[in-house]
Amino acid sequence: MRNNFFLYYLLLLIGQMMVCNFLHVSPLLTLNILPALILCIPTRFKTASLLFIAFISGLVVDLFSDCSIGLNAFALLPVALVKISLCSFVFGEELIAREEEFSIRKYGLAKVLFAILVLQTMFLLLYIWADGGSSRPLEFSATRFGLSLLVSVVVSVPLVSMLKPDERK
Amino acid sequence: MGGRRKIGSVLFNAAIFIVLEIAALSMLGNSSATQQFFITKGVHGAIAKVWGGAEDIRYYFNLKQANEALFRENFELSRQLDVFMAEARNARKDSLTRSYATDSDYEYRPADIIKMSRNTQHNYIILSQGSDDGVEPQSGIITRNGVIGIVDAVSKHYAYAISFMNTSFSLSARLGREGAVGPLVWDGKTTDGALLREIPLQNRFEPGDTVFTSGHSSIFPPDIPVGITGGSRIVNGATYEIEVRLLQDFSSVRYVTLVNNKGRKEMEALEKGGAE
Repeated sequence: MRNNFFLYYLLLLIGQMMVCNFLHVSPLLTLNILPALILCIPTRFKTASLLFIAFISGLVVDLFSDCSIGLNAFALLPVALVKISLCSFVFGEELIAREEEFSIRKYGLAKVLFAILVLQTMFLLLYIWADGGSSRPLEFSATRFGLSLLVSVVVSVPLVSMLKPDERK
Repeated sequence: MGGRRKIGSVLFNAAIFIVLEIAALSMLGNSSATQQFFITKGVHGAIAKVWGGAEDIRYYFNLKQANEALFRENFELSRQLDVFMAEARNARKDSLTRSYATDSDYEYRPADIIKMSRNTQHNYIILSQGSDDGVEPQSGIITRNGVIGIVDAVSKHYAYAISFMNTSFSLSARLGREGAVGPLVWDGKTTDGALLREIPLQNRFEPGDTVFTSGHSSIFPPDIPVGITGGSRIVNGATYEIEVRLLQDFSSVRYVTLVNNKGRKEMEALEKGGAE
């Protein structure tokens, strides 16, 4: 899995571009899996590397999809900045110190769900604000945030499960 | 020693974060400048080729709707032609009118949309015509049913335009043919909804009134019908905000007309001179 991780990452990045380009359900729904992808990047990657990966990933999605250039990159950078601290807080400092990987089976669905929820919340708050949130009524932005958070978290859980399988035999 | 290294690491990460965040924000804020960048132009070409294919499939399934629209347009053009021919016949009877030659201030050019985003708050359009076809930045994009957007940047074969369905787009519109003028902006929710703002309270209007372009811009000609008024509300006790149902539904637009004001550059130079 470790060897295949970046292949999966690339495929899911293309998947995100397809979602941005073709999945136009409603202006109230922004389905984004990028925070989940950042969460799943192996723990051997330190914050500086994560920031560059997040910036490039966001920019690639911005350039090849319907988004304004810089939008995903802008919202994804804080996610990369807090990823290691969040993992330490949720899964314990040993995970980072030993450069181990987390999985749903190892740490439980609740902890993984909490980590996804925090990162998606950060991402969507910035994304919706930068995507014209200040020029729209608060109820519109709030509904968009709530709906997008719900759908993105629901979609992110199986993706995290796929990218972070339990490697114990 | 370890503590100093940790602080150094935190500062280093913070510096990278700030630099990258500023880069992302400046790209987001200077959309126009970013679109002029050569990498962006190349990417637009790739997007037009790759994602444009999917738009073609969508258009194929919308052919019946497109045919009906063309039929209606053809009918309307025939009707207008009849009116103009009748007027021309009448004009010939009076030799004095022959000297009144009219020359439009605007030049028009047909174009078609290759790619159009509809799902974000900052939607854009890619057109199949570029600088080789004579397209210039700041050209307006219209259909007979209203305003679609403004060309923001051009490459050789493609043009990138800001859609009306964009939070940064504001169109000067008039309530009726001689009513008050205010900015018309997209409602941010639907593909055929807009809001006409800053209409003074003394103005009278009814739901169903037509909204036209005002002509108070150097980009769009006046009197293009844009939409129909709906409900309204008073904002801050000072002005009306009127809901407008756009005549052009953005979910089905493909063929458009580019409009270029021949005197725009002269007007802008004059404005610049006045400002200085």
